[in-house]
Amino acid sequence: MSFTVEVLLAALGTYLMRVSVIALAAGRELPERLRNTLRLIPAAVLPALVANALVFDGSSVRPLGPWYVAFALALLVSIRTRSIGWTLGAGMVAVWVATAVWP
Amino acid sequence: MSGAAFTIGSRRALVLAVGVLPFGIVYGVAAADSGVGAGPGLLGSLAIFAGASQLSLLELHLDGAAWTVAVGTALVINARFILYSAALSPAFTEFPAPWRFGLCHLMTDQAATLSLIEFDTQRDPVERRWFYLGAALTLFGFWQFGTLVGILGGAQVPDGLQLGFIIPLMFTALSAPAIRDRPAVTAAVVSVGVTIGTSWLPAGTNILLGALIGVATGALVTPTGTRT
Repeated sequence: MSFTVEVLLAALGTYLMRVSVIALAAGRELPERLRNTLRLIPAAVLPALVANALVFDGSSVRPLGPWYVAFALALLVSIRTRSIGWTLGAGMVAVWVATAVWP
Repeated sequence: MSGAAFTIGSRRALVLAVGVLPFGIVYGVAAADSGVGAGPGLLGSLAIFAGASQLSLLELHLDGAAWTVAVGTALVINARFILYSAALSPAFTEFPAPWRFGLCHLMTDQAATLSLIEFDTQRDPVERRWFYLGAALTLFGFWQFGTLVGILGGAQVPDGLQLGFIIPLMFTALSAPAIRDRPAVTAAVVSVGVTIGTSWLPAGTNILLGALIGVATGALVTPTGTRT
């Protein structure tokens, strides 16, 4: 099948997933307990994305190396400053330095 | 009208949008090199607008995978949008329908998270939608620009820059403001454990499973000891 058709099918499916709960919930007041639970979603999804990108390199486990060192530092910066800019900046410098000096 | 909220949103997203740019270029270069054509390549960024799934779709297409596998894998990778859809639904339900359905297409991990953090303190639905639009459109613009640069310029992104590291970095930076109390810490820890423990599952389903079990576990924890 042509790439264009595959793109359009993936786009349609992705849009339907983006709309899904928003369309179902429209005009309804959700109970507070449920809203509090939904509020936990970024706290669960984001660290999962981090772990998956850090610990795995394709289908193999990433061996101990500069990424882990730089990540530990970035995590500290992130917790201390809660600044996205500082975390990205410090993390990138850390990974360059760590890669350069890693034996 | 709320131009101020739009500006705040786009400013908050700017550094993330810059971080996303190299991956737009990587996708654009891959699309140009693959011979699928500039138009279909760009269409991927405009219509799907989700980097990891776009790269996966392109790769599987080139490998000659069946369309069901190529499209299905892209959709599994993007299934976490159902979770963001749920998280955003209480706020989105107060938007007029054209806004609601339009803003959905611009949903990304970054725009959704930045907005959810903002919505904790910003209650006005008008300010909320302009904030989301500002953040989401900034990310969208940079992604399209990166794609175009990759397709037209064919600029190679050097390996030595360790750009792959931006992915865990970006989501770490977004996590800190999203994890502020015991239920959230619990959700995060459980989610990471399950994601790593079930990495043998196909493309991205480990993330989905981790997130779901994380949220369910976090919901059982009483929100005392709230940190700021």
